[in-house]
Amino acid sequence: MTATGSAPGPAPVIAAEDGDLHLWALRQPWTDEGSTVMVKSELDDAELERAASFVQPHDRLLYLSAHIALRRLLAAYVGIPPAHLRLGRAPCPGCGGPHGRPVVLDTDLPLHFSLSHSHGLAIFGVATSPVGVDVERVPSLETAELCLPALHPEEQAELARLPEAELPVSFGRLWTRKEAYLKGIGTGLSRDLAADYLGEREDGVSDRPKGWVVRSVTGYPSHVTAAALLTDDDHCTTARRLPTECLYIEDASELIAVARQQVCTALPANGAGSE
Amino acid sequence: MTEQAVSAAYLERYPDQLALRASDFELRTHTIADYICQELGRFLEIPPAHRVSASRSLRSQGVGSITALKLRRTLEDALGIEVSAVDLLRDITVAEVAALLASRLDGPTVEQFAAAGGRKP
Repeated sequence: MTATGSAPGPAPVIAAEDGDLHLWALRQPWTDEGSTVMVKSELDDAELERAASFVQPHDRLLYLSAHIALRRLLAAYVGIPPAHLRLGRAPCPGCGGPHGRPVVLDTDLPLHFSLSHSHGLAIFGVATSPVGVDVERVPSLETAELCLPALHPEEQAELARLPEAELPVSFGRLWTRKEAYLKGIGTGLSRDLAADYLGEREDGVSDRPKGWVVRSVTGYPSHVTAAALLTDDDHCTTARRLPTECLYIEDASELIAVARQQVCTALPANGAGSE
Repeated sequence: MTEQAVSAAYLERYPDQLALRASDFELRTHTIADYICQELGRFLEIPPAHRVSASRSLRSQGVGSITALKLRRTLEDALGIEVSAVDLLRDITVAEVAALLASRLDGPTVEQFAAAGGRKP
């Protein structure tokens, strides 16, 4: 692909409603045979280089699937063909370096997005204000116990009160809320993991980051998922499935427009905490 | 004793922070890289035939944020220094991460090492 900036294309087939959050989920194809016919030509050199660097075929396949789908999904929102979309990074709010939130260049639309993928599943968040999403496979008990001390003291205390059997999922839910928030503000893991409270304490609303709604989202029992949205208004979060066919067909815009009509989950406003 | 044999011996009794700090930069780096590969092989459940490579980045070998956090904690316990998860997820090889961490280890004095009953390889 040659990044030549914006090019004339079809009108957007999806509008990002003001203040709302659109979540999309994509299941990775089962085999890597699919990677030979995926529309890899729409990826830029950096994406192709990154894909080629993965040692494990399933990691490479998931990366390719997620990034092809991301371009096709964003194309449906901005009306620029997937191969002509230029993606960049906003300055990091911590150090000013070019590794902050991902951004779509060459559009005046107030469009924000976030992508996360893990073990066969990719999650995309699209909104008109800063957004962060994270998905992880449910971690092991060993992982949860090893990572616990890095969290906010109140988060540690909440998780320590749980029966051991509940710790992996509860830690995973908390971790994804934290990482979704850190991606939303643009710092990623460079921010102290103990600095912010993303726990589920019922009386903890005032301790959570101001201006952000950070919530866990269910749907895939093998994974934990969360989304963070900067919003001071009532908003609605909707979740939809992205069909894997969108990775293969020549023009996925119609397929995505149809999938847009099929809401799997709609979460109302005031969703601080979890669903 | 070859460098690999010394390094393997270290791994058997790891963490021996004083001995590690008393060794030169090259051996420190090699030992830490071996340790990272060993722990990642376990974390990522990689079959023995597909060993973690020191010449590739952690990300390219399947390390995500939670695994990086887990490795950070493991390395901090083993090396006694602060480790950044961001460093572990940068586009640098395992060997380069090891060199970064090796450079942050301050060596003990000969007296400290001897007082601890150590024997420099």
